[in-house]
Amino acid sequence: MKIEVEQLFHELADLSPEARSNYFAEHEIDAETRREVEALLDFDSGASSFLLRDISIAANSALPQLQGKEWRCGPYRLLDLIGRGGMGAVYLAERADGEVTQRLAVKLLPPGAGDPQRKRFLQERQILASLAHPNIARMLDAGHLESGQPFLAMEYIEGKPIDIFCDGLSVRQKITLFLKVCAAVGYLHRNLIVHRDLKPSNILVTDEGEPKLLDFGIAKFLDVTTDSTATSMRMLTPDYASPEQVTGGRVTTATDIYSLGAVLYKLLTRKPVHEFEDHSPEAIAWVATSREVTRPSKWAPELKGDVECILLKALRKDPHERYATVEQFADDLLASLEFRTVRARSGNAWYRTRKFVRRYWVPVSAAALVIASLGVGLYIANRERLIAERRFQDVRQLANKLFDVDARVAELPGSTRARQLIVDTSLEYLRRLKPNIQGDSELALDLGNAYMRVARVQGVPIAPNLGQMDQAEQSLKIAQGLIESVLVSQPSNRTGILRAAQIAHDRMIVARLSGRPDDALALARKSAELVEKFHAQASDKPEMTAVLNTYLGVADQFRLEEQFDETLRLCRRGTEIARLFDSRSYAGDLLWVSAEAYLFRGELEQALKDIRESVRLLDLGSGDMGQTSIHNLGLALIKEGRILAQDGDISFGRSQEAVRCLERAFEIEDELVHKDPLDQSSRGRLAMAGISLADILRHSDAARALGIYEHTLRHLAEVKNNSSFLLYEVSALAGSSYPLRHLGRPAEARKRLDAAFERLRQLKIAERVEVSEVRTAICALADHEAETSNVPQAIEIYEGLFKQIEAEPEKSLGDAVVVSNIWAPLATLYRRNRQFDLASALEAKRLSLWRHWDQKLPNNVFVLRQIAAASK
Amino acid sequence: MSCDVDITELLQRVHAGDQRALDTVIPLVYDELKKLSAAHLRREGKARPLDTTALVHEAFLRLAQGQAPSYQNRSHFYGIASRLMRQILVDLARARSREKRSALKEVPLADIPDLGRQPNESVLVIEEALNRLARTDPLKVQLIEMRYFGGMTAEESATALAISPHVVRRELRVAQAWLHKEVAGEDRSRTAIS
Repeated sequence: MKIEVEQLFHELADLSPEARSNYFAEHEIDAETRREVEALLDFDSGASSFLLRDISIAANSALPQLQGKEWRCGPYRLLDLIGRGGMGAVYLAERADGEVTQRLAVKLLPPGAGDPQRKRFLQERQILASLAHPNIARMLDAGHLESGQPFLAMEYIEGKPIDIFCDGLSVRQKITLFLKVCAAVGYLHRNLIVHRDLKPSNILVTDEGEPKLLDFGIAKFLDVTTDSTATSMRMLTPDYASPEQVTGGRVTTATDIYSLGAVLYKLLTRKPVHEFEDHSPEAIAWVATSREVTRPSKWAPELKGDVECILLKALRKDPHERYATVEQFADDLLASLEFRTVRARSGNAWYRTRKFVRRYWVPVSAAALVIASLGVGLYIANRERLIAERRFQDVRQLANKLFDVDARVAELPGSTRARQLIVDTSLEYLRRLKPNIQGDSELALDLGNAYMRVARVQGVPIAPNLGQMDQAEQSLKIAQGLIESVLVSQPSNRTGILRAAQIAHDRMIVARLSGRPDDALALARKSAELVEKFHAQASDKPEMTAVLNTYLGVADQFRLEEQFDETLRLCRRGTEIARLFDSRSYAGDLLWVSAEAYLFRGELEQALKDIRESVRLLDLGSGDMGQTSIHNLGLALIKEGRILAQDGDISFGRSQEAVRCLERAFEIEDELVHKDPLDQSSRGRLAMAGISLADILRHSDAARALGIYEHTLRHLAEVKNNSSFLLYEVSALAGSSYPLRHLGRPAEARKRLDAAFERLRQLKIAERVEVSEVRTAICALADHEAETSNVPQAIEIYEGLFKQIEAEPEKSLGDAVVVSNIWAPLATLYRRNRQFDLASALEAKRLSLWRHWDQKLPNNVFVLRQIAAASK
Repeated sequence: MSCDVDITELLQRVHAGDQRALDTVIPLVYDELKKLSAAHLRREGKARPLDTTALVHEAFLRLAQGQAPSYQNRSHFYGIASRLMRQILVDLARARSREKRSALKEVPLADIPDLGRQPNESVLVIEEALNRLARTDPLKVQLIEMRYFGGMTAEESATALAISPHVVRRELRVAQAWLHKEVAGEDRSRTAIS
């Protein structure tokens, strides 16, 4: 086209025919140019519609040409494109081999995808292959095309997006449906998968009302089908994306919790959490991070109260402030549902509401911190896991990595649920690895270590644990087998020796708390022998911690078995090592044990000196052991209290000072239990402090003592299947019978005693009078009979108890106390029953026993007090 | 920048009829073809629903290998999509035309009614005219592609090519008039021959 022609065309195009003629008349334009321009002007009108028509007709003709073709993907015939995106295209497909008629969804990696995309696609297939949950779309098949393009075949979900399905349902029906979605997401999280793209279009509900979560790969593609605001750009749906996603922050399980909250918000209010006026990334980020969530009750007033609070908690900007787990979120939703039915029936609504509100308004910042770190860990773990499934070496590293996560988690309160997650996952990996050992000693050591650490989280009560002692013992036995298999061929393997010492130590703790003292002592000897052998070569700090833990536990076991020389020897060695490594906490703990040993030998001054030093060291702050040190401070305070005064046991008898120590311990433990209701070890110490405190107070303040027993019993009732907790219960039940009688409620007291014996029968130790709790219960029963005017019965019980006891009161101060504690009330009872001879004889025996001890322990406060009492 | 060069080179090859180059580029744009195809019919005001899935299949599946080049922005993307749409429509029209010619051999001449040019062949005539135009005025060809094969507005084309919308409208107006004239002239000459 000539330039002049074009220029003329533009000048003339909008002029009338007359004006055009005038133009040509006024300007000198050659004939050919004029002809060309006029020809163009002739075709100006209608040019546009001509082109549109002809090209549309061509497009229309082209389509049927393509429709006859059959599109195949492996054994599947592709029927219709149902979604597409950067990660691939999803087709509705059917089997093409005619074997069976089956509709499914086939997802293909887009051709030309780069390596990272391909890798992700393969990873996604791997993740899906490992998932099996009724509310997650299943993977059915996977393969490659000849071109090398990978595909996967999935269950085809014929359903509606959950928000559309929910139209017209009641709040209750919506929440019930949503709980199934929570179950699926919880399952993902337990499998260390963060969905990261939860939104209604990814949650389809079948005609049967089953929600199905689509995997995050497909999920991305399906967003074209429903929510138009979600699809304008290839980015996150701002309606359901968490603030941290919008701002490019760290994605954790808390991210999914936010998205779940946003989905539920939409279901219940039909509104998105935020209205975005401006869809620029900056505007979205600002709204997501800064604008307050509109209260759901503004849109749906019936949500005011429980459901609103739950939603707002799930939708907190700060991931740490959201629900720590999907299960907690679901629990609260379920409670809100159950609460309504309960309220309708019981009329006790106010209490329940208050209790409920308190439950989710409890500050959980520390717990959230744990979950945050866990979330990152899980995300990393997830990536690791995918590789791991191909190569077990990686699984092995992963097992250790999980424990690194656990080590961080363990030191913080509120972490129990997170740890359960770690335990479950770890065990799964370990089970998978175990068949691969076959003479690989390194692997055997690693696995042994891993099983031991799992056991500790499950229920070895030396740190916060899940209270599953039986499972813990099973894990320890597996660990022991693994380590011993190494020591058989390499008897001087250092790691093997240390692990064996640790495992023997842990089994010892479990045996002791399961009421098997002989096993415990044997294991203590084994552990001591091993750890002393190891000490000779000890070199680094983690090892030192393991060594000191073992010293501490074993020394304590010897103390319990009244092997005091052994105890004090191990305490001294342990304290030396602790000082060497500047470990206040271990020194404090070992001093606790030696104080206890001194106490049992009646060396009260020495005991009080050690325990006060121990309290001082542990009270200096978290120090090198973090949370554990708080736990042990509680324990040391309990001990200080007991040294100062303990009913019927070796002590100074300084009740007021004792009460102060025990009250402080009780408060510390109560707070810890409040922070993490699932932490059993704090609950155990709470019980110890409570029982000791009430045992003292019941002599002076029956009502307050009863209150503390009750408080303790309530806490104990929340733990099931833990034998040491059953023993605490026995003590508290038996102890509470005294104030109950004192307050004129003898029938209730009797019931408590029956309950105590019921627990002992449950533990199959009702006859085992060497267990102090058994003696406590028997004495309490005898005292009950005595105080309810059934003196002969009381005498019979005490006599029976005495006969059963195999004590050496001249040799053991503890035994002397036990015997004396029977003789004293028995003598009183004989006297009441007018058996004066028997009474006098017993009183004389008792006095002579304590005179014997006065010679052994001259000027001992406790012994002198006993002599004074016996002389009355 | 290397991306840009790759695309330009690729488009030149596509334009030259290199099937493999086309195969490489189409996956990049398959997801928009459906929309473009539908856009045509909306403009025509046709109410008949059109299943454009197959077109997308064609674009997506026949073209597997190769490293997909990335496009710079949305407008650039539509530009590429427009060219591909043109390429696909022309390829398919040629295939139809071949089938028809081979079918004609079987039919006695007398039985063929003189209907002039089949409307669906007009895209081939347009293609020939565009190819002629491209020799002297590639910008106009690109604008025609964007407007009519890609369904882009003047503003979108202006953004894609970094020129003013005013220039786009001017260029388009003259280009489409010229095309109209050329295609009509082709018809006239055919009629004259027959």
